[in-house]
Amino acid sequence: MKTQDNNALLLEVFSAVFEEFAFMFVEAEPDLDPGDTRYCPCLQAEISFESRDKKGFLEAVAPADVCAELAENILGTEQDELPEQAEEQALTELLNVSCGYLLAERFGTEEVFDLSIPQTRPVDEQEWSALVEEDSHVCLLVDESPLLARFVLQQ
Amino acid sequence: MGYNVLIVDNSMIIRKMVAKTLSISDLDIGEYYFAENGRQGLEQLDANWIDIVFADINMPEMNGIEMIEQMQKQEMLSTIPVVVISTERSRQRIESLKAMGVRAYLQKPFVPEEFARVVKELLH
Repeated sequence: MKTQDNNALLLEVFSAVFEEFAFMFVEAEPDLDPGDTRYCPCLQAEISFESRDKKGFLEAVAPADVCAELAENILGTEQDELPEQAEEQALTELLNVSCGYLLAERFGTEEVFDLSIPQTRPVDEQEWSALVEEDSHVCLLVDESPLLARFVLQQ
Repeated sequence: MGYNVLIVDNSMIIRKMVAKTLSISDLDIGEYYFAENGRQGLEQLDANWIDIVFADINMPEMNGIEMIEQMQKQEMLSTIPVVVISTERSRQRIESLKAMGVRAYLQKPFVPEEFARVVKELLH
């Protein structure tokens, strides 16, 4: 699959899931500045998938503020009422839903995939800049904040 | 007396979302019970009277399929309606869940109105 097609698929999937899940809107952001770290700290989440003859992973990196807004919208609550780890869990659930959606869009619904439990970790300013610079992720804007996404098929 | 519900999902976000959707529906809900995986779900089923179970598939320790298999082995538990709420889109897996006795399947993210309609059909 060409990179452009891959990027278009990620945009389509994240747009649909953010909108359905949290009433948040996504657009492409082709010119993200690696030096712009005002969105940090960020969170990275990853989920892997495997079927009989395919495996890979889906990754998303987003500002903690976006994850908090995601949690607020999903739960219909205010930021000061969010339970502990709501930001991490909102991002992992978003990734979980996006992965199911993406696999069905890419491979259809005949194939059975096993998904891992998504994991999260913090990303600091230095790592954020490096991720933007290395150009291996598609850059999206979620309600005007950046989100990096990557879909990797390993076999 | 309202219906007692058990919500089994490793995501706190989804447990709260399902509970909230039930609370704003016009269903008569009694007690809410929660579990983070299939093993905890079976413990809740052993300890409490449950009228309906909402379960994810992909969970650590014991997944939703293993929990449902265990429920089917016990006469009392096998009659409790189970609704699977998952990101799963494989037709084969959804069919196999229904063959196992799962009464309804909802895809995440679900629409509250659809969720309430499915639950009402099962409980009434």
